[in-house]
Amino acid sequence: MRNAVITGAWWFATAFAGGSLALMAGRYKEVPPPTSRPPSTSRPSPSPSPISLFPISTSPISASPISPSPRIPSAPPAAFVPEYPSYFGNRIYIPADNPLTPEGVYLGRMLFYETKLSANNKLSCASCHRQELAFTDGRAFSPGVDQIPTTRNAMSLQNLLWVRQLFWDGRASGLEEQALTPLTNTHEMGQSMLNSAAKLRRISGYPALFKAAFGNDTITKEKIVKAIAQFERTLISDHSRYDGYLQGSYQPSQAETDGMNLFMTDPQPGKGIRGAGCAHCHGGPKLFLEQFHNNGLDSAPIDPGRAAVTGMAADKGRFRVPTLRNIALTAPYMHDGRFATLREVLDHYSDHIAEGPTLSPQLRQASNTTGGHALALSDTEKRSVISFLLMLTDSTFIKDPRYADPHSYKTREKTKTGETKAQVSKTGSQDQGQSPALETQSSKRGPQNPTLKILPAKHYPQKSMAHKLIKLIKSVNA
Amino acid sequence: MNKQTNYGLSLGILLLLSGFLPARAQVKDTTATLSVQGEVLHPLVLKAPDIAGMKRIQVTVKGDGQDASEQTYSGVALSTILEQAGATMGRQLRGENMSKYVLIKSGDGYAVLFSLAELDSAFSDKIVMLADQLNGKPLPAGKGPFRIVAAGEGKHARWIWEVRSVTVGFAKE
Repeated sequence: MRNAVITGAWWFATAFAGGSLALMAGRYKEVPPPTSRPPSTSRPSPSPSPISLFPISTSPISASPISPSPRIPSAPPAAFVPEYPSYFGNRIYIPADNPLTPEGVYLGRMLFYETKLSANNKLSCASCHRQELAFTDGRAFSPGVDQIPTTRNAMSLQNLLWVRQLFWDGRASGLEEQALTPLTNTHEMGQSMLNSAAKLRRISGYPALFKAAFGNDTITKEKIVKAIAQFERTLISDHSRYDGYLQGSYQPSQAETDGMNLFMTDPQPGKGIRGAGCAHCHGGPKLFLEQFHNNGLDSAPIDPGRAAVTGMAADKGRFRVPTLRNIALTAPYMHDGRFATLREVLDHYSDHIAEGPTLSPQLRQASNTTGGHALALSDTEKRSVISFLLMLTDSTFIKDPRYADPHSYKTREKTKTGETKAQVSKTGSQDQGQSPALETQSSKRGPQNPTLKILPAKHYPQKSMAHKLIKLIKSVNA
Repeated sequence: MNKQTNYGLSLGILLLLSGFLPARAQVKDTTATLSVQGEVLHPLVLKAPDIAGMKRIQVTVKGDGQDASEQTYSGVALSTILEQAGATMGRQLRGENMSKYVLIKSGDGYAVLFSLAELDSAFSDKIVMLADQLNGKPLPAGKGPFRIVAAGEGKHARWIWEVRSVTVGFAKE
């Protein structure tokens, strides 16, 4: 009885793949890639791949103009070209060996929410990157499987398609490389990639998903991180009120307008122009630049930041400039989560910049009074800037079902709501970080030694896409 | 107590870097290098003494930011460095080489672009300089040891601080 429920939940989740693909294809239209960096469509397919079996489903991908014969199994895999506003620009980064595909993105989403990727089967990527908090966790530092907290604040995951150097110190050149650290670090998810691959192999459904995404069902470290990276590259936030303003459909209030002007303007006391000078680093519609700065938190930084990566004295205390999109949701702030509120952040930049040898020159010379050493914004000015920052919240992004936990759709209504997530209950819609269906299944066998096996075919809903997929894969293999 | 010590220490380093003891500051900052790479025959990794030993030029400009007084930058023409690295300058700057660019990156990740041709004296009177001194002293903290000075440009957005690399490339359209 219990098993039947579990199986139903699992296959509901798997069947959702079809729905999610349809949703994705609805938003991620096939558009010509930027000529300077063709992300995937121009990449020749090394061999005919079973990925092309997916368009058998009713997904609109089968109507893709780029795949001329999507119903023929030998056609190259459909590309997944993300759609975003043109004001984001096309300086995106998709590695040549990991083009986005709908199947890869879906697998990545499953893995992002997969607690089996942690040593204690309790943590997933989503434990510290919760959708309702713009993929942060509301904590300064995050406890891992050993309960020892991380040393830096969990970063928000959004608009990563444009980011090349990951982590606060930019040490990982690509999301694929980045994912390895939280997965394997003993103070985070704490499980070797070999163990993760072995555990996934024992969970029904995953081999088929890997085959759909990568052409064969062997589960490897490389494929796991590639799929997660694909999913992360689709996390695009572009529905804030600021986007409405940029697109001419939202009229900002007076406070928002004042805040935006202060944000965008460098102080020029000689000309009587007041400014907060934020845009120098957080400018442009994406609200970040891929840069590293010492923003004056400490005169003698304890954390060396980027200097630990480059070995350069000039990089001491430098950290990446994060995006300010959804900034109201991603407290606490800074690499060490030292500021609990946006007001504290404004107070810092306005009044408490600590001079040190590597302090960003832009902050060193920013002042609203000639010869001054601080922005010294007024209380009203700070409030105005915060009004503008609140415009950057994207309530569509944090509720977007394409980014939500695919494991919990069936079971979330039944899960207990007693868990204390005060902030979540206000904005969140998902029970994050858990995969109840699989968790229950494993706890039956004991969490230390999960021996999940592929369930008999009779459990598969006959009309699910996954069922069709497996049937097709079998016929191809035969 | 401890904070004061740290503050004093960092102030000391600040003074070192800002030129009160330029000789020691240069010795201390041995890690700062300038890479010249890409479409060049001889990729270079230059340190401060290498730049100091090349053909020097200087330019006097009006200050940026709050200080509008005249300032004298000295350093080396970017074209001199590109020629030394074997980029296609001078008589070679024709044909397909006309679609080459020069991408200059800062330690903080900022990057600016010039066309190769606009850095060649046969094409432009404007001299783009890699400066290592301001008014006879090393550049101020955070802006050095090397900075681009493109005299004649209104906005100083291409006057990139803390230059770490110069990459010559083809615009592949």
